[in-house]
Amino acid sequence: MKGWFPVFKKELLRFFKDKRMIIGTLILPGLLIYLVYSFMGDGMRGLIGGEERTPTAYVQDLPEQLAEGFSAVFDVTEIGADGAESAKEAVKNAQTDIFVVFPEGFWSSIMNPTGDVPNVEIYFNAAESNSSSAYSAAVALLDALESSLSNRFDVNNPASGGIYDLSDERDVTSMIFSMLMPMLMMIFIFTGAMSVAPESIAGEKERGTFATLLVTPVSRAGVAVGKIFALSIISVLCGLSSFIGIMLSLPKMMGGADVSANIYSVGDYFALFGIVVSSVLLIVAMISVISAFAKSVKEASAYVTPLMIVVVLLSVTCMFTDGAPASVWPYLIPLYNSVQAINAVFSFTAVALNLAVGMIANLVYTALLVWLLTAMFRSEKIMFRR
Amino acid sequence: MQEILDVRGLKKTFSLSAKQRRIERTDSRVKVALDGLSFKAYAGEVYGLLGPNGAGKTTCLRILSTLIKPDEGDAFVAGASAVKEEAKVREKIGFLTSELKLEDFFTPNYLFDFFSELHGMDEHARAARKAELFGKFGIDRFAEVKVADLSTGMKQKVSIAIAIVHDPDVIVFDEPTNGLDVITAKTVTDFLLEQKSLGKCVIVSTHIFSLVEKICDRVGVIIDGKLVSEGTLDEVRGGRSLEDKFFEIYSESRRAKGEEI
Ligand SMILES: Nc1ncnc2c1ncn2[C@@H]1O[C@H](COP(=O)(O)OP(=O)(O)OP(=O)(O)O)[C@@H](O)[C@H]1O
Ligand SMILES: [Mg+2]
Repeated sequence: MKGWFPVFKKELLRFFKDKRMIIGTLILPGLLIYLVYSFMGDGMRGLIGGEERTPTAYVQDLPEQLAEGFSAVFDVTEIGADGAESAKEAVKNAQTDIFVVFPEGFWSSIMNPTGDVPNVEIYFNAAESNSSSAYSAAVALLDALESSLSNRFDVNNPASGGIYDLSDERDVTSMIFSMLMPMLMMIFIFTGAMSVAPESIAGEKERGTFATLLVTPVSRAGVAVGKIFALSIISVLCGLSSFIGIMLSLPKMMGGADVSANIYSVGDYFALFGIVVSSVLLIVAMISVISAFAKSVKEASAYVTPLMIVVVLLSVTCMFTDGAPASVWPYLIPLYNSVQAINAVFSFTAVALNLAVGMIANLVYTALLVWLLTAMFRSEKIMFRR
Repeated sequence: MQEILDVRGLKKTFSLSAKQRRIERTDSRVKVALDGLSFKAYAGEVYGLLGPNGAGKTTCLRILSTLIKPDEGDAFVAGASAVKEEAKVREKIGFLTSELKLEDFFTPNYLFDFFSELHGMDEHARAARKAELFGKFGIDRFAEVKVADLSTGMKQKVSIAIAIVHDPDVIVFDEPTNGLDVITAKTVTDFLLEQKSLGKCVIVSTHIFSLVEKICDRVGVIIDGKLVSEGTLDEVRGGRSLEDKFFEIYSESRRAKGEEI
């Protein structure tokens, strides 16, 4: 591995000397994610706020005992019997949401039930969502009235002061995190690696600096190891920038829902760090091998794109699965194991053995790829391919 | 004179991709780049490999500098085999490729330090060598300027300094003056002549007659991977201009292959 350290240093320096690189891959992604997600959060809340429009109702013969209850929910317009036809027309034309007709003497007939059950008619327009929801609201209101008239028992009566929703902060957060994080983190790591590795390997080939490097006494393994270490550090930093962006925008994105990363222990973060580092090494090694094969940066990027799609697809799978796989075998599959391990940590379904197997598997794959990369650096067919 | 480079019967065949076959308009799946190339070079001389595009010059120089392996034959640099003793050869040889483009974000100073570190030079040797080469090429003033901001000529000078940080006995330059203006080209040729006077063996490849006439002591004319004529500049010219003589040699070799020119 002679000469790996100078190569490592130079690789890091190449990144940190390049202002465009730093802005483009370190600062901008985190910043953009923060801005976009924050706006998305605001937008989502705006959407919910917009729903709070008061439905309109035309009501015929509204009993005065119900007036208060109705006007709390609806914008009520009382009309006489002669207005019935035009009220129905108004519902049909979506000028008002519903038209409610109480039978004459409604209140007294429900207070002193005889045998005939009075019928309330509610005209609505099923083709209009506002009308439909107003209809449901009116039905609910009247149902509540009906059940209060013959109350035999209550369910979750708020007056009892009990708290019946037993979900706590931890469950909500872990659900959201374990859905979002595996995909986001994998994509960030991948884009980080993708923005530096092709330039560092295919770029050097293209510019002829690789040839200059290879005539020095530095060993091919040294070049491979030095580059992969440095590129991994840079990719971790890029991923970190995006990660911080998400963390900062999360409260806004969730619109005040109680979401906080505090529920995870130091141990969880260590596990996460281990997974991320082993995944970064593997991903960087993969992209490096592809870049070593390519003749130019452009070609390298083209070859890497399918791999990126695979990573995205794998990441999406865990949005639809509940918790991480419990058996150990899936953790031997590269990339998939990273996705599931991140998922496991965030959803509190992690099994230490599985995580360890995943990390070790990734390190073994990385070692194999470094060996392959070294062999490629030795191969004139690959390094001086036309 | 002391023999320092011994090239013996180099053969190199490349397999051609479908795309290359189309470009080169050939059905053959292989391209013979070198076909038994042999020559020797000595300390204190400039040896020129003169040949048209595709003659095999770059292939030959890459074999000398251990970047690629010949199918047959070997090249010995200061007694070390380019095939079997790569490490030894790399200590003895300085190679400047024709397509070298230094990375934009480094300074000459950094690049020089980087390559001297790879060559395992200590602090003292590095400082002395840097002072010498930077002084000679006038890089001093630009030592801390990023490569991106240097002129083409200055870039080429930095490339040269980097290729020979370790003070190699054999200096191999592929097309050393390609794309340079007359002034920079002169700096480069002057430098090569100076290296020769210091007892170095300089190998250059080129298709530029004037460069050969200016600096080469001996010339090997290479066509289709074979050395078709070799000797001192005067021997090769045979009393004519190098250009005329070259075209005569070239058309002879074409006729021998039964091709029209
Ligand atoms: N890696 C490679 N794969 C396939 N063919 C190659 C490869 N390298 C060189 N060749 C072919 O071998 C022949 C000799 O190439 P070489 O680069 O040595 O020529 P050259 O004398 O340096 O020419 P130029 O003046 O164009 O630089 C050419 O026909 C070239 O196409
Ligand atoms: Mg060439």
